[in-house]
Amino acid sequence: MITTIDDARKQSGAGPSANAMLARLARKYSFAAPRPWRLIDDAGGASGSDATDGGNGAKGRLKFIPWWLCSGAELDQASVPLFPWRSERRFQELRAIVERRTIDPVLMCRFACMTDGRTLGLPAILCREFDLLEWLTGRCIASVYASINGAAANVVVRLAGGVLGSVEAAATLPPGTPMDDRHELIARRGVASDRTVDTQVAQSSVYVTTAAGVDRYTDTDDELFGLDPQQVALVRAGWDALRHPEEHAAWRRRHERLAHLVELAVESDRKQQCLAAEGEAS
Amino acid sequence: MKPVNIAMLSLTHGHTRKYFQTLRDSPRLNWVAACTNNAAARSRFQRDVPGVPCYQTADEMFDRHPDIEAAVLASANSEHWQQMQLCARRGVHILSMKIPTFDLDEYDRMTRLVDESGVVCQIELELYYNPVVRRVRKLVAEGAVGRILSISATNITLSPVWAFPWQGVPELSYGRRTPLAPRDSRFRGGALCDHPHIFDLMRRLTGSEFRSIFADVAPNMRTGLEVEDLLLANGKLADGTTLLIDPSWSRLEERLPEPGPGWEVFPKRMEVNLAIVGQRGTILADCFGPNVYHNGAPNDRYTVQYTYFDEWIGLIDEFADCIRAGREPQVNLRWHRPTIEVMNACYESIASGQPVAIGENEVLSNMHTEATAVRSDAECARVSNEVQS
Repeated sequence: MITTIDDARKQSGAGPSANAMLARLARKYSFAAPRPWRLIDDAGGASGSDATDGGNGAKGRLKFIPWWLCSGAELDQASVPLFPWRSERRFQELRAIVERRTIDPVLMCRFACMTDGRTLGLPAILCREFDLLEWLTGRCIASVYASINGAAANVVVRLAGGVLGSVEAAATLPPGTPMDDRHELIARRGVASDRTVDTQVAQSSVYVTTAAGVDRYTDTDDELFGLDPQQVALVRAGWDALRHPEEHAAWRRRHERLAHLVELAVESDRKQQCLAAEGEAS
Repeated sequence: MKPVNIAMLSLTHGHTRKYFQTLRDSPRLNWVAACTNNAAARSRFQRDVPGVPCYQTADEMFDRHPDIEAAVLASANSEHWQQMQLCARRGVHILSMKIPTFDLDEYDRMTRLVDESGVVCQIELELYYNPVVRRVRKLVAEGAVGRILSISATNITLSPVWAFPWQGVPELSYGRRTPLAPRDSRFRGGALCDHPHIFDLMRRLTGSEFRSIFADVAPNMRTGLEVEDLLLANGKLADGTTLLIDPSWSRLEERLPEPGPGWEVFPKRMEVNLAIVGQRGTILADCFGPNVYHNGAPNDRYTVQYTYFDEWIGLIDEFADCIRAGREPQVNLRWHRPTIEVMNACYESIASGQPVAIGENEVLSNMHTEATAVRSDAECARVSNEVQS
């Protein structure tokens, strides 16, 4: 039996909430938000809301909402969608590898993501992977062909410039199973990936073998120690949202584009057609 | 069992070297002769297989060795039909490479020829005899993950064209010069033609046939090639299973005239990985891993050293058994035809930019497939025993 720190934290109920950790960051860096704010998390968003920095009541308060909690919603001016995966160090490194042309030019992307469907259902997985495709390559998705069966989908997309991409998505893992994902960018010069060669699943930083089984830990952020990688990404995304209010409008537009792409995938499967995507990446 | 007297033709296929050791080691075979009109291939053969005569032509070889009972057609795809006719005329059993032909009229002529001549014709899909695949088949047959919702499979390799140039020549690989798509300067005949295994495996695992397929190509990694090297396909089987297939040459290689150490630029030269998503669980499988690793000679690059290969033993065992017992091989021409059809459909999809509907065949009843519906315990035990044996 392999468990993660995320499982252990949830089981024990221990550990700070993402919202509290964001408030802690804000205090540490003496960041005074111009408006009250609240980071909505998977627990429903109530945690520590008014106790946080800037928590001067609900009126006019900004709501930072991870995309999977607002995927189908029309957002008002107070709602700021977050794309926490963009805050994960591995994706930032992959993006930098592309931007610095360490691998070049990117020709094909092979992405996969499997979840237990509780936090990220199939539409949210597709959203995440479509966003990563565009964000990592800096190119728009131009067309989509999806093949969906229940909570599993296989999608082939073409990005601007003829770059080809695939998304393998499933929200079918047993409840409590950690997310399993893989991202590979193939270029004429070089291949970049967040998984090491000749492995199929993510490796961890620490493995502890006892009579009770194997515990594994992947701690990626000392400042936010104790949070699992997904929570770290959420807090970091919230921190970006706090510090960069000028980006909020662009993120709301991005939210709409991703919703469009996910709808396009569903429509593609229904019509059995490869469909052209509209709009631009941001 | 009396060993089968066997010969090899052409010696220009990428798998030629795989047979060198197997044909010598197998107690079920007696390697009689080989033939090729390719000087480099003959030179390598004489270096690696001393003691087995190598002739310029197949006719000369068969005339000099009338005791030859079977032949491995280790040749370019474009030569298979002519070589099959030659073998059938002489009553020589045939081990064909993985693509008999992409021309379905020619394919059907091959089938009739084999039927009428009574020779055994086995198609070389060595993945059938891979122990990881066997484990996966057993798990699926036992209902370990329940009904299958999705299968993704990679069959990604480096490109063999520098060592086996015919694989980059449309006429020799695909059988004719057909443009990939309007306004695309490339032609059919590249990576897709090299990788039928995973198409076959999906049929075999599910017992269901392809119903639709969509495929698209990326710009080539190797700018000098006339044929495609990066492509992806997705679609559905008749039972609703959704598919994702990557048959690309997406691992760069040194352009060696002969495969050997230092071939890899990317550390791993070949990967066949499966992700099978079922209603009750998921199977991830690496059919050729894990392995051992080094960063030594000749290029001091980190390299995956392939460690577990024995597919060719099972493949040859079955071929010899079928010859002696007069049985039909698992991968025979009729079984393999839908795989060739769906690969052709991939090319049609690339040309049209839209998915292609395929046939109307419902779930197959072929005895060699494993149905994916959740089985009764007794049925699971029976299928499991079949797979195990």
